[in-house]
Amino acid sequence: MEEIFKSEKWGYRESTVITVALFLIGVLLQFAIPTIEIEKLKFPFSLAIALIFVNAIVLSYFGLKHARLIQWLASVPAAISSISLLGILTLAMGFIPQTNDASNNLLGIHNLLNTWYFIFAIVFFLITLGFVSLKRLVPFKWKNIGFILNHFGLWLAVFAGIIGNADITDVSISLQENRTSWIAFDKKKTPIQLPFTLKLLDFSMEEYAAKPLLIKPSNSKTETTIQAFIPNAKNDSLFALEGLQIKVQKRLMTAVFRKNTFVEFDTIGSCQAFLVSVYDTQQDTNYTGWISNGSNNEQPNMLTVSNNRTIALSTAEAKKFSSNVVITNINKEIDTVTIEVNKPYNMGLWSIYQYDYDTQKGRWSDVSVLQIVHDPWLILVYIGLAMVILGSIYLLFTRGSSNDNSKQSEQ
Amino acid sequence: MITWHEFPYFAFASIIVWLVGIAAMYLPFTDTFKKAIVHISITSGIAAHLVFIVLFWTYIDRPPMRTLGETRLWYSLLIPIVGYLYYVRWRYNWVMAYSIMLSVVFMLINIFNPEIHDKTLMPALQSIWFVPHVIVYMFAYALLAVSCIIAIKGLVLLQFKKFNPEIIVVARSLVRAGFAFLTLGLLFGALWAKEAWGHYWTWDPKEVWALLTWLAYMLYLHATYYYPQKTKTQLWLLAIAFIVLLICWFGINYLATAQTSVHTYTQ
Ligand code: HEM
Repeated sequence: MEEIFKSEKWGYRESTVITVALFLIGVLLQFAIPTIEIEKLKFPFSLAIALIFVNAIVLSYFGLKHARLIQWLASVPAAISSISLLGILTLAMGFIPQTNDASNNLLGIHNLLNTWYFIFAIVFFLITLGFVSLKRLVPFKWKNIGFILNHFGLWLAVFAGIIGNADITDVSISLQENRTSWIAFDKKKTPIQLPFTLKLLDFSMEEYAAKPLLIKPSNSKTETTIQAFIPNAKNDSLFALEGLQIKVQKRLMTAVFRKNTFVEFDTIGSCQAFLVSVYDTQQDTNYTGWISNGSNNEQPNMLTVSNNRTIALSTAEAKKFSSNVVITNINKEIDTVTIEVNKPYNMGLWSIYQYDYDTQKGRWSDVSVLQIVHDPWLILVYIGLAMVILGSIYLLFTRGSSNDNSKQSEQ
Repeated sequence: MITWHEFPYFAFASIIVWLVGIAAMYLPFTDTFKKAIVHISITSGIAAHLVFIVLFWTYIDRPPMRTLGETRLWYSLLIPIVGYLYYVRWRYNWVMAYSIMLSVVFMLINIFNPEIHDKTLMPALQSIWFVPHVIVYMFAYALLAVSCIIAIKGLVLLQFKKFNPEIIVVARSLVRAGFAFLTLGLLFGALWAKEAWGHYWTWDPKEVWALLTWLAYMLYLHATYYYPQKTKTQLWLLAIAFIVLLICWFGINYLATAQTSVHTYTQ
């Protein structure tokens, strides 16, 4: 009996036909209407679309539960089809550079996210996942909790993420030290007025110690090879490389060149300078001198050793950079905060990130660029993600079953 | 002070005790004696490797998770753990033997191709998400690598008509756990990206390939749920999914699309 019933349902053949057809319609539509401006679907349209979509899914599921199409959309073959279609388009994105470049963009392949066939694929995915979630959500049973966490959670995160995308405000603001500003600019350089003001008190940066480098002329005479020093296992100021024994005698993290030598002086344009001594074991000679990485005020300094080789110092890498900012909101409440990479400041739905600085001036930059993001749908996305995280933990602690096996064991 | 220079000592110590353990499994000893040797040697090999990682971590003053060489370090720790847990739980000698073999390969790569690195960690990587994100991913990769080996073994056995249905069960249970870790890795990555760059998902090339890997295993899980009898298709799916995973892990450094990725490891 059950076998006959099953064969009336749509299986993977029907699924393949429907999926390919859907894709081809998307391609044709892409051909006819190449530009889609999804980013225009901002609130209130985003909310309207969300409500219509949810309504359509819930009503069609409960109203037409026994229709073949609905049954199929809530089945594994449809799930496999929609996951595959999305997978194939993702694969294309993995190989074709996504440049957003309008020219030479046949059927939108360089901007796949904004094509009709991609939109179809994601809507197909969301319909399938939506029906599947409803299937196990109503009537609710505790034994389905893992399933619901995974499927409904994923649905919620993807749905809210996509619908909410157009409502995201993503702007950057360039702050000058001791000046107050509230005008930020989006990616298209449109000015946007913020609901709060920002005043940069101070931008500061810490650097890592620079790395000494060995530069040797290569055989071709046109290129040189650079090799970073490897510290000796026992002492990070001792190096052995190519018959040279190199010792760092002194490290100055903020140095300036004065009267033929480097001195520690923390001022604008200071650089790192190391005093190194080199012993050439093959030629039994000694060299001593300063190497420095320079800055916009200081020349870099190198030490020449045997065989036309030089020892130089790499540019320093930033360890951390942060901005000290006074924020004044609409209610005139004032807050002084430090914003650092990976430590944004959150204020309601607004998040403020350390983004950039005047790289020419580096550590002495008196400009700090902050990125400001407002995403009203974020909370729904996070609820969805939290559900999927719990769902994964559920997967870890339970044993799976297959469709057939579970049926047999239940009877 | 422990650096890459000392790695070969630790690695060879682990490799030798592991080989002793594996050999013991196949030698005609009494059962209790065999068990004792296997448990002691496998766990002490894992312990030696773990000690190296901990000391190395304290020496370089940042989590050793940034470069390919460093991720291989975790991989060669976690694969034997997976193999050992499966051995303890299901008594699969061969799962453990394969996973140790895989781990040894990764150790040897690190010995003969040591990537000596500086101690710096760029600001975007200095996050509380860094460690959980990478560890969870390495766990997923370890489980899925073992599942791939099992799939290949299954395909070979099918060819010789000696197929053992147990393979399907083991592979699926590995992927179930592997997929759970893969999901956690992906989502921790998303939460981290939100903290660091303001967006949880930006379709960065590494993210695209991570999504693809995730979809491939999702496909496998659902296909095996609905069509459990299609053995050969399942095994092929597993093998192909692992190729996608490998591209995501390091093939990405060679792809044209990835030149702008924030995730490509600097060598
Ligand atoms: C986080 C991602 C996902 C996980 C962890 C997951 C996991 C699972 C598991 C473990 C089952 C077996 C059910 C059981 O044992 O009770 C299942 C079934 C199923 N899944 Fe998923 N899945 C995911 C995503 C999806 C997606 C994206 C779709 C559809 C587009 C989907 C559609 C289905 C369907 C239709 C079933 C069969 C349900 C039934 O017949 O009642 N799943 N899934």
